[in-house]
Amino acid sequence: MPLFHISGSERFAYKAKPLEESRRLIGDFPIHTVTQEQIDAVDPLTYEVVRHRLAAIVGEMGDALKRMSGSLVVTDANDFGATILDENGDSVIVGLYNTQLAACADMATKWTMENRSRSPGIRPGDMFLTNDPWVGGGLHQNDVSVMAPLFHGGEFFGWTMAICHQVDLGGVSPGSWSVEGRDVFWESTPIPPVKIVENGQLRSDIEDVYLRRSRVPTTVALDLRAKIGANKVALERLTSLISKYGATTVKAVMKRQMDDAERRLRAKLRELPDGEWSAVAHQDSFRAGDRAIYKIVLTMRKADDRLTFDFTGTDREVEGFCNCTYAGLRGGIMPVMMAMLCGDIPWAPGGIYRCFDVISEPGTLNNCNFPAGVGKASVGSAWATQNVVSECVAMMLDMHPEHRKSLMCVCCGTWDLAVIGGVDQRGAPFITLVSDPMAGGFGARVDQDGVDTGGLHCIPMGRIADVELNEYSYPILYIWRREEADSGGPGRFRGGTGGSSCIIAHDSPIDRVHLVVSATGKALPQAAGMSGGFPAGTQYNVLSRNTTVWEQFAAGSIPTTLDEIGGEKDVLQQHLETSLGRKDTYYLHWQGGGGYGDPLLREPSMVAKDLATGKVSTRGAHEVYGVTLGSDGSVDQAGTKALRERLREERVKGAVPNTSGDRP
Amino acid sequence: MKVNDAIKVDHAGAATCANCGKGLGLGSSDPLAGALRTERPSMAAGPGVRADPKLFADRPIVLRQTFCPQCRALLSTEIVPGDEVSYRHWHVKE
Repeated sequence: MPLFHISGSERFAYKAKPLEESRRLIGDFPIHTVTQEQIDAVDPLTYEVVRHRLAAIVGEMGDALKRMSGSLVVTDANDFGATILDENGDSVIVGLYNTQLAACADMATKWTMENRSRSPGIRPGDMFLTNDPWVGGGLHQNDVSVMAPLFHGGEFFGWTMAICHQVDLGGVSPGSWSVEGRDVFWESTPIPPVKIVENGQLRSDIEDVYLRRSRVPTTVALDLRAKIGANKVALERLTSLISKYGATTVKAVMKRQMDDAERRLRAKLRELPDGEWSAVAHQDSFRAGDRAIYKIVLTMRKADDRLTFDFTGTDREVEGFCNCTYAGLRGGIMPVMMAMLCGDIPWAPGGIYRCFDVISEPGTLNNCNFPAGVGKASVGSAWATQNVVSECVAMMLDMHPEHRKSLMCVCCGTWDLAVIGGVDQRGAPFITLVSDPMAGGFGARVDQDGVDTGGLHCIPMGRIADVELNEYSYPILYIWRREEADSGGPGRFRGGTGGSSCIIAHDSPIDRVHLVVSATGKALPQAAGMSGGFPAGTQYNVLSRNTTVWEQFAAGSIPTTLDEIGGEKDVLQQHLETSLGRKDTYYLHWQGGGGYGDPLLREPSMVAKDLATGKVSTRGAHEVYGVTLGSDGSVDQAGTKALRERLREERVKGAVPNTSGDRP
Repeated sequence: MKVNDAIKVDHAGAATCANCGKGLGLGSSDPLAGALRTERPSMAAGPGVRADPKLFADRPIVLRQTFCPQCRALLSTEIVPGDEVSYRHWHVKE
C-alpha cells in the first residue's frame, strides 16, 4: 500500500514552539524558573561544583541502568542514553552514552508538557513512557524513553530521562527490524507519551499494553524497571543537590551551562571561515528485495557564529523501514556537533541547538511523515544524516590551522545488524542483536590514523560484550571475532579498521537460531574519506550452509577463513530473514572509517607495520599504497618509489577535464 | 588558506594544488574546473570493496577521483553512483 497522509498524525510530528506558545498550551502549571540576574549571581566555584555534580548524576543514571537491565545491549554495549532537562524541556547535559538518543529527549519532554499537563496531568511521583519517533522519544520504536518530572516546593523543576534500546517490541520480524516492511504498520507500534508510573506506582494496565507486543516481555519488563530506577536515582540526587545549594542556584547553574555551551560554540564558529560545504550520504536498499540507492544531501552554511544545515535535494521518503523522522535528523546532527565541535565545551544540547538552523522538507528520507517506515531509522537515515553532517563539519574544520586537529573523517558508515533469536541453551526464548559492530572504525585525522575498531561516533562510551559472555547468554559459538584488513579507508592517514565476527548455532534445543540481517553499504561504502583519502571498505555478510566446522572442531582445529569453513556460501543481500541450522555459520563484517589524504603519500614504514599487524593485506599494500617489501618484511625503498611512480601514471589514464559540461 | 592537505585557496577564492601551486579552476565559482577527473569501476579502489556492487544494486557504482593537471596529485576520491553528479563541494566566502 503506498504511503499516504493520515489525518491527525501531524499532532505527533513535534517541532519546538516558541516558549510563550508552549506555556500557553501547558496551561496553569506551577513552573520553577530563574531570572537572568539569578543566573549571573552564581559564583564561578559554585557553578563548577554543581555542574560537575549534574554530570555525575547522569553517570549514575547510566550505572543504574547497567546494574538493573538484563539485556547485553544495555549492560555490555552501552546502547542507552541519560539526560537531565530543565523546566522548559531543554537538555542541560547528556551522558557519554548514545548521544543520538539524548539528542531528541527535549522533543519528547516538550510534547509531553504541552499535551499531558492538562490530562492526565503531570504530578510528583509520575513518569511517562514513549517510543514514538515522531514525538521524539527515540529514533525508532526500539528506543523507549521513560521521563520523570522533578518537583520542588510545589513547582515543576525539570525532567530526567532514561532511554534504552529494547531488543524486541513486536512487529513482523524478530527484534522489531521488519526487513520486508513498507510502512510503520509493519513495525512495532509507536506509543505516544503515556503515564507509566503514577504517584510512585507502576501502572500495570499500561505496562501490559506495552509488554503485550513483545516477544521477550520479561527482558523488556526488566529494562522498564531499570529506566524507572535510573530516574529515581537521578531524582534523589537532584533533590539532595537542591537541598544543599537551593533550587535557585541549581536551576541557575543549569541555565548557565546551556548559555556557556552556546557562547563558547559561537566563539569557536566565529574563528572558522564563513562559507558552505556540501556532501552526500548514500544508502543502498530500504527493504528486502529493494535494489535502489537513496541519497541524503546536505549543504552546510556557516555565517559568523551560526550554522545552517540545509537538506534540500534529499530524496523523498520511500516504502521501506530506513526512513527517519525529524528526531532522527536531529539525532544525526547533535553527536557530530558534540564530538567534533564541543570537545572542550559542555555537552548541553539545549545551548548547542541555539547555534544552528535546520532546513528540511517534511516527507523526505530524514524528515519523514507518518506512516513511513522507521523501524531502522537509528542506523538508517539518522545514521546517514550523521555521516553527511560529519563530512561537512570536518571539511569546515579542515580550513582552520588549529581546529582541523579536531576533525575526524566519517566513522563506521552504519550498523551491521544481526538479530538472533529462538530458544537458548536453558530452554528460554531469547532475542538479541549482536552488538559486535559497536567496534566500528573511527575516521582518520589530519595527523594520525583513525582508531581501529574504536567505536562509533554517536556513542563515546560504546563497547562490546565479551565473546564468552555472548556464548554464555545465547546458543552460539564464535569461530572468530577480529579486525579486518583493508576495511579502514586508505589514505596518508588510514581510517580505523572495522571488524568481523563469525558465529555458529550451538546448543539450542531446537537446533537452529533465527537470523535477521539488515546492513547497507554493500553496493558502495558509506564512510567517506577526505583530501583524496579513500572511503572505508564496504559491508559484507556471508551465510555458509552445511559447513565442516564441527568436524574441524572434533579434529582439534579452528577454521580462520570463509574458505576453511567450507559449505555453500551465500553473499547476503542487504536485508533478509532466515535461520541458521546446526552446521551453518554467519559472517558479519562491518565498516571502518574513512581515510585522509593520498594513500601514495603514506609513509611506507607505516604500511609495512600495517601489513605486519593485519591492518592491510599484501594486495592492499601493493595496489593501493604502492609499497613493496623485502623478504624480511622491510620496505623496499627503490621498488616502492618505482611502483608509486607507475601507479601515479596509471591512475590518470583516461582522465578528462573536470569541466562542468563533462560532469555526469 | 588551506582547504585541506591537497588544495589551497587564495584571497579571490581560486583553488591551487597544495603540492605544486598549479591553478585548479575558475575562481570561486568553479574551483576545480581545471582538474582532471577519472571514473573507474568501484572495485578499482582495492580490496576494501569486498564484492561486485552489481550483486546489490542496479545502478553503476564508480570510483571517481580528481587530480592536479600538472603534478597529478590526488585531490579527491569518492565512490558513488556513476549516473549522479558529485555533491561534494565547498565555497569559502571572500
